[in-house]
Amino acid sequence: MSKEYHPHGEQLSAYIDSMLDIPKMRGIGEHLHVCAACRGREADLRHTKGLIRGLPGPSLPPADFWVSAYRQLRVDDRERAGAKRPLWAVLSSPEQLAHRRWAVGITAAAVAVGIFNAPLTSTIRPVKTPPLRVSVASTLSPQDVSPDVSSLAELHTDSVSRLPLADPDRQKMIAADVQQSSIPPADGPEAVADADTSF
Amino acid sequence: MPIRRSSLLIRYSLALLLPVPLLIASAGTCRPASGRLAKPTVSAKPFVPTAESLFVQVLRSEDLFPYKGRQITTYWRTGRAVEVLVFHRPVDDRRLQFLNPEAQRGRLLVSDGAEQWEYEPHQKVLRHRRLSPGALDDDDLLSYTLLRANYLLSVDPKVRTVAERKTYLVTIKRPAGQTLARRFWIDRGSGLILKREIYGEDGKLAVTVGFSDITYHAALAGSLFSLAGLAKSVHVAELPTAETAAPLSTLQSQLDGLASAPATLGGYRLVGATTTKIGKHPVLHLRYSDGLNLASIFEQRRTQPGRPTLVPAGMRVVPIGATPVHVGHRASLTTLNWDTPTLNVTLIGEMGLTTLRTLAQYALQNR
Repeated sequence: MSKEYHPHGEQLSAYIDSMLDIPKMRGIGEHLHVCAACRGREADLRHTKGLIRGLPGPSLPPADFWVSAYRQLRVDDRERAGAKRPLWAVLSSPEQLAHRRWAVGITAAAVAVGIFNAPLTSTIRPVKTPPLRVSVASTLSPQDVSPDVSSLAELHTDSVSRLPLADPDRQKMIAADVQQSSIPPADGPEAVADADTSF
Repeated sequence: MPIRRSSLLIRYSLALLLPVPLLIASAGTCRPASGRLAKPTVSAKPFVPTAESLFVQVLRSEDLFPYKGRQITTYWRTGRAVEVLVFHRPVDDRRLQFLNPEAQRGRLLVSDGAEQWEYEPHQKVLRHRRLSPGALDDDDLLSYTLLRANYLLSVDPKVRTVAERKTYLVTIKRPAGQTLARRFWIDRGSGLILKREIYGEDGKLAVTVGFSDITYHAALAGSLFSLAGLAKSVHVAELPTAETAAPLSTLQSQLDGLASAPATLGGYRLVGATTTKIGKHPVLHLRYSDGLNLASIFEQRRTQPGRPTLVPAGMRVVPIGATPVHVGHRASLTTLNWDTPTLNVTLIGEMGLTTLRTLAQYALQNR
């Protein structure tokens, strides 16, 4: 790259992010070696990027946010159907407002970070960018969920059935009961619970 | 109980070796020093077998006789009773036909030891699943060793009658407080357990499972042990619960080396392990036994260590030490679930909270 050709901002940004192919990286590097003006722009740009990286990220929602949101999604069939209630009524419910504040905050922060980063991290070649997904779920990976109890119960009762003095028929019944969830526990396990249920 | 073929050798060896001391002893008493035959004497005390010999008889014969019987299971704490017809054909064919309560009438459970079909008539659904392979480490001797180490065994000299069959009554007590843990009525002729009582940790009777009648000479058609015909007319649901045996020597490398598998949890010993997938996640299944009860520990790797794992709604939180533990009940099973820095752990057992809490404490200490 000749001394007369000065890389523009996007090229310098891509150079700093090591996003160019090797000949272009080498060309801009050689140019910066001989051009003090571009070296100055490159230093400024590097400093700006450093400042942006140092900004605090969006604060996380409270610990019970995910649990309550998960339950809300699971249990409220009527609201999930959503057809009967007007949108304003759904959005103005107290639970929705509480959740919405966090969702709006996180989404706004994500959009702001995206806007600041976009000109700095783009490359010289036109890059097909994925559509911006404005949702809370896209900002964080899904929360871990404990294994399904019905499946665990089947595996457990299978194991018990193999014990030398086990009662395999009753174990099969227990697994089937758990699968159907037709036996609601009154105040604890119905079979061999001890008196101490107060811990 | 399905027979594990690899343990048949152990069973038969025990069964064959057991009478040897008796034969030697009887030979000594029947052959006097003079060489003449002694006059047979009638012993004042009836012969009473040991608990160990009876359990060997149970193991040796429980799957080898075909039978049909009516079995009643009573849960004394809730008053619920379930009545089923049981059909058994050697080696592992088994059919349960529900008679009562009315809500469960018509329900069928058929298994061949490797697969199980369950027909639910009200929903008209046929559920099919593969049964777990040899879940334990296939060592019945280990179970008896644990049983003897953790419990007191005795045999009642009086012969009892259950379902018009003569039985021996074996009683198993906990050493602490001498409270009852189990009682078994074992058929003197067939070795089948005709009745069993399960006692809670408070020593109170919790469950009774017993035959009200049984016949060893029933004609058992092959069609009894197949629900393939039903599969053409009703919805079939496949339940994905297949397990693969995991040798105990490989456990430390499971779950990318994060698995925690202590050899003992108090009086409970690690007797077997398997791996499976629930959803997309690998799960390690550890089995701990005291010879009579079995507790399962399921370990799943956490991907979000910063956030607590979601548990089913309805589980209540109780602290064990500094760890919040979720407790829930399904049917007669109790479930405890907690997070470690790297794993989500589920403990399941049909036992009291005191025991499960103790096991959880041991498990937490070993991490």
